[in-house]
Amino acid sequence: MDKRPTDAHLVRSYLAGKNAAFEKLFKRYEKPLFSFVLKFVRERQSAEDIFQQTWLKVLKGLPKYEERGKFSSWLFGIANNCCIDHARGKMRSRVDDAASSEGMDQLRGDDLNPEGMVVKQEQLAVLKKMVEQLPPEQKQVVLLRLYGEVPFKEIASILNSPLNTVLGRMHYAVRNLQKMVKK
Amino acid sequence: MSCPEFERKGYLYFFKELSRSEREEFKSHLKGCPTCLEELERMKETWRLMERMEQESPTSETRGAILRQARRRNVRTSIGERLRSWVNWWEIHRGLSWGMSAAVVIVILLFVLVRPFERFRPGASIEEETYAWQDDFIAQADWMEQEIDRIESGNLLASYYPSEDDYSEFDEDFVSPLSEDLNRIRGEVENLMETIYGI
Repeated sequence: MDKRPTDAHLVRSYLAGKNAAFEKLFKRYEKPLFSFVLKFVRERQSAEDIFQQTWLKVLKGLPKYEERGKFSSWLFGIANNCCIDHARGKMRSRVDDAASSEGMDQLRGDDLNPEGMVVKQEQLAVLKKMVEQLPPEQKQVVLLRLYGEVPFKEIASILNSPLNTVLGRMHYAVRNLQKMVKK
Repeated sequence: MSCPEFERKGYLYFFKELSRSEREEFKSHLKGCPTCLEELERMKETWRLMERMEQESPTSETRGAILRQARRRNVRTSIGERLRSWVNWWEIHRGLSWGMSAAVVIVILLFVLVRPFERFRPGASIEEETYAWQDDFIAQADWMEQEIDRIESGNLLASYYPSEDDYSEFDEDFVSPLSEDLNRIRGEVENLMETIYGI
């Protein structure tokens, strides 16, 4: 039996005044959440900012957090929204900046081109790159499932999309990854 | 070629998100669908690889900033939040909380049923004090009445009054105030007695 305190327990302990409980909770999700954000935005500095912004939102929301779903779903849902806001802001600034057209491809959703990668990379490194290059809507689903271990029904609720749409995105993401890894 | 059933249920099956009956249903579908079976195998392989991808960490500055903020926020909680934290504490220490509640109820019941401190009730002590004062007053009043009687009987006055011969020279002011004093004392004693016995 897993004797680790549950997320809900740690949240309650923190709210009862135990800072160590928050540190445990933070440690539990530090790497998966940061990896999620980093793979989403693909920029270290932006990822650091979004990661921090996510936790600040979590801290602000904790007193009102109701244990309706998994804490991880809530946490990754916040991170996902922060990433989307960041992507929108970036897109807006790039649209404004007529001189720069390169970054728009990232957000278009069909940027699956593996060209330009180092040919003899390790399989994992390729996969990592491939995940980053997935269309945003597919990447969201894959990353939420991979790092947040968020169930598909909750992903559907976070993304405000029907379950079948989410499963379809997962399906195409996996297909794309398999194709790219084969190459 | 792919089977539409895999897209609909294959991922939910893989991540154990199907209900028991749905799971059994998909299992029997797998037995008769080589496409789904093959897709599931490929999915397992891909996901296993993905799970092995190294996870990244934020910088220590970012980590430190978040944890500092967490500590600061926990200090600056509003009354409402503090109240909530008590409720949370109660929920966490449910066993202890029930034990404490039971102990408080038992103590209250003891007080109600046994009344161990009844003799120290404030009402009771005031009553006792009042009676003690009353006894004092009565004793003093008795003594004063005896004194007055003694004075009136002439024992004491005789020493003040001059002889019959000198009476004309006696200053009336000297006698009169004394009589008035006696009457006043008597009046006061009577009032006092009335007040005391009235209690």
